[in-house]
Amino acid sequence: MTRSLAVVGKSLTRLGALEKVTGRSQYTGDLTLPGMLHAKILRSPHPHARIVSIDTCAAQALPGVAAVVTPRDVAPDTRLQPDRA
Amino acid sequence: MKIKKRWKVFFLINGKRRSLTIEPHWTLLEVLRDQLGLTGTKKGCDRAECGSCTVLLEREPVYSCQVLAVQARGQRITTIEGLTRNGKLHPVQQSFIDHDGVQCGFCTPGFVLTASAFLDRTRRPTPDQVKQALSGNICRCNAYVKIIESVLSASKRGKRIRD
Amino acid sequence: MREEVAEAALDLIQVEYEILPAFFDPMQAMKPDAFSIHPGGNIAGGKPIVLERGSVEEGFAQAERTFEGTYTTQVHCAAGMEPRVALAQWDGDFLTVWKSSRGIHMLDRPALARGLGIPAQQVRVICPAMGGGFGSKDETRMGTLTALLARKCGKPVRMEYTRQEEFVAGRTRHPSITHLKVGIGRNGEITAIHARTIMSKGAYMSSGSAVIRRCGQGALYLYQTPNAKFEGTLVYTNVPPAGSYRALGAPQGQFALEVHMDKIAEALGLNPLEFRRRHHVKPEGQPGRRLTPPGELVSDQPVEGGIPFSSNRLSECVRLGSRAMGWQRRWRPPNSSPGPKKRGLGMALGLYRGGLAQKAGAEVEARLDGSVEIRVGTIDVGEGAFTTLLQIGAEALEIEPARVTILGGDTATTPEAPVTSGSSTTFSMGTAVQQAAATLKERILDRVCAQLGADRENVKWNKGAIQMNRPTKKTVAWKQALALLSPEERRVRLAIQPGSTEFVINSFAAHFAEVEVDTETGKVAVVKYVAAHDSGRIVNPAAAQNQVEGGVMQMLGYALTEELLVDPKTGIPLNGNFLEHKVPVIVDLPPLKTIFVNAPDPAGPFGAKALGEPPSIPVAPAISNAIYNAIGIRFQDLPITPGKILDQLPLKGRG
Repeated sequence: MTRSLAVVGKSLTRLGALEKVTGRSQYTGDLTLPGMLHAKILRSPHPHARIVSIDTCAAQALPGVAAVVTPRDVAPDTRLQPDRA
Repeated sequence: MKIKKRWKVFFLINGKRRSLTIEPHWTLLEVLRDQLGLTGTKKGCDRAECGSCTVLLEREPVYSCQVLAVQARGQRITTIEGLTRNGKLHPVQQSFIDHDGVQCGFCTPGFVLTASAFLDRTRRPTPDQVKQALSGNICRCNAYVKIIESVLSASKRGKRIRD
Repeated sequence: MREEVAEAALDLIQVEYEILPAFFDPMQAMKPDAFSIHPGGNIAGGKPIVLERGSVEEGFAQAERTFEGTYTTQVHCAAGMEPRVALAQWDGDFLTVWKSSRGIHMLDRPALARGLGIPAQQVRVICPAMGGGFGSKDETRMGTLTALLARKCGKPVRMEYTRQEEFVAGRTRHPSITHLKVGIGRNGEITAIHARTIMSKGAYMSSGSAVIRRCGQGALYLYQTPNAKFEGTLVYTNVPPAGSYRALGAPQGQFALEVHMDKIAEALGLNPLEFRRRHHVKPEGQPGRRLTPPGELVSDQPVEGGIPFSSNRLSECVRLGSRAMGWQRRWRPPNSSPGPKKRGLGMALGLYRGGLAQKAGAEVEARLDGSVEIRVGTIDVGEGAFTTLLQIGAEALEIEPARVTILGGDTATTPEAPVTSGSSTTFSMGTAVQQAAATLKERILDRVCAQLGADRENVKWNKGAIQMNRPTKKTVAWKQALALLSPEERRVRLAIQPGSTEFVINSFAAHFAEVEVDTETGKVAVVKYVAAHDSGRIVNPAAAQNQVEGGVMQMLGYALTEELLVDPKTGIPLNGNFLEHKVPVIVDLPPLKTIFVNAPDPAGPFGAKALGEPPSIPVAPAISNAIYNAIGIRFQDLPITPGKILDQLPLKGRG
């Protein structure tokens, strides 16, 4: 590198800084889509356990609930594997 | 005793009167983000620890996750979106840009609002005073050196005349 | 309030569990007769990874003295301010997922395709602004779950972790147990370094294999020795799953190594600074024979010797950092300050990958309006990567940076790019951007020369305008020049394989800490901190300083306060929140000085090397060594809390 550098080595203002200080920067959590629904995960109270059965009927029947997914909704070969996730 | 399920309220948000119907358990944070679309106010913890949800209530910084929206009815609220007036940045905002007081930016609105309220009260702060004033806001990027530089520099830019 | 219904529904789901034996201690889980968490036993991959240069057995045979020690580190959470969040929407068979990420092309897209049973071409992943990554947020889980739900109910679905979920179900820094053995020969030379690390994984692999590999690099490479060996064992347990977090396993491994070396220096009667000066790895690299065939790319975390570094300014880091700390003038033997508040100086070195990634792609397009857009498939995780890449692009094109914009974080509009890992963005993506921009510039020059009938030697590039001196004086403005190119010609998309066939590319650091230990309360105050770094040429000094300051501060939490506590009986995480995990706040900030050697690396784009993770590596050992220097007690277990300090202080020492 013989020529002197004009841009590299300079403290250019961080991209997005203006958006960040004005609250305009959009993070994933700030996005809204029409008809968007909200999901939560039921977590096991046990550090190590196997699920014997899941009954989602009552949850499904709760007004406002659109869908419940369980491992049955995923083909076994695409389930989260211990070597991934 | 009958519990009022829905409240018709108004707020003075960023200088504008906003009327809406809310439920008594909704927090100010939820109303700002989800009802009014003011997503510059961030939900970082929802438990009064991180300060990402800081807004100014009657010019004082509060954790909006800890204020029920009904408590704030009729009051003046400034969010990060309201700090810029007529397209002109608040000196604190300009300073955070100039001194790189920002990394990921998620905590930035909270820091900027807390700092702006602090500088309204304290004309020429020492670095220690700045640290104390901002100790209720967490930046996990830990951009604290640059945040302090930003606030100290803003204090020298002169105060913006308040409306 | 938007999640109220979903939260209420959770309470109505009835699950019957078969409770299984659980392990919270990897030593228990490793026992041969232990209940298997996954088929194949609890040692991930069935056996430890073993990496060896020379023969440590022979090295120890030549040693006059050997030194052994065991070091442990805690569960540590990245805890970005933005909790993990995902949003999924289907349009027919096409899926779009917005999520926090660190690898939209290489991680999320294939994982979503696999999880949803659709071709990757039907998956678009977008990562908008990221509220703090720190190497974390690399799982696709939430994207898959929201996509499944969205498919089932025909509407977009959003999911956001609570702060507690973020701590407990996010991914943590692996806790570790490292046993070190170092042999010292007759002339004080290091004859062998043998490190064995056991890491508790939780029940999922996540980025574990990269984490354990990175853990061994310090032992293998930071000190000059013909014989070095690392054995790393990843153990499945039932603690909250560990994954990737800034510098992966390097902070754990180099904490052990750098406290150990401090002990050896003292035993040999050498100042810690002098010991390190003599023995740290030099520009010529490790002794031994190159095993990588000639012409093949050299790993940036090699085991073999016989390969020089592209650049290694560790000596400069040590010199500049120690001078800024006033080490020579101010260093005193351990426990020599009087009174209940005792001061001490400590130091530690660090070495890390220089920034090699898998194939890196970039696209640079100049438009007729004179603007230039750089498109990269990586994300800006909050560190400022896009700013750095834009600077590199503008420099290579030799045009005003104000003309240039950058687009990233969207699989639909950007070429395939590697994961944001190993601090590889500046080096690898930077090289791709540099080459794409340089190619575009050459094309423009060629076309203009052809148009003018000028020779390349007779034209000058001036911020995009092209000046011809002969046969006549003439200037073609930037926009005029661009108009000579077809739309295809104005766009350069290329992919490169970053790396070097001749050199090891590493980044280096030397950190110096001064602490004051209050022997009445056990509280440690960091009085002064100096971080000296060799990351090649610094592309953006302000952003780079910010990275180093932030990295140091984050790891001061690791050294002194932060830990996710897991109840040893129930396995329940006890403190999944900012306050009780004890992340640093602004009042904890010590006076902090950052020094960059700022010497260009011959391999990196405009001389740059990796920077994001290196600052996090030497912090904990520098602090532990400074505490030792203050009170004469070694702490080999992180975090070094006031409770641990008081437990070790003899009563007479307390005030």
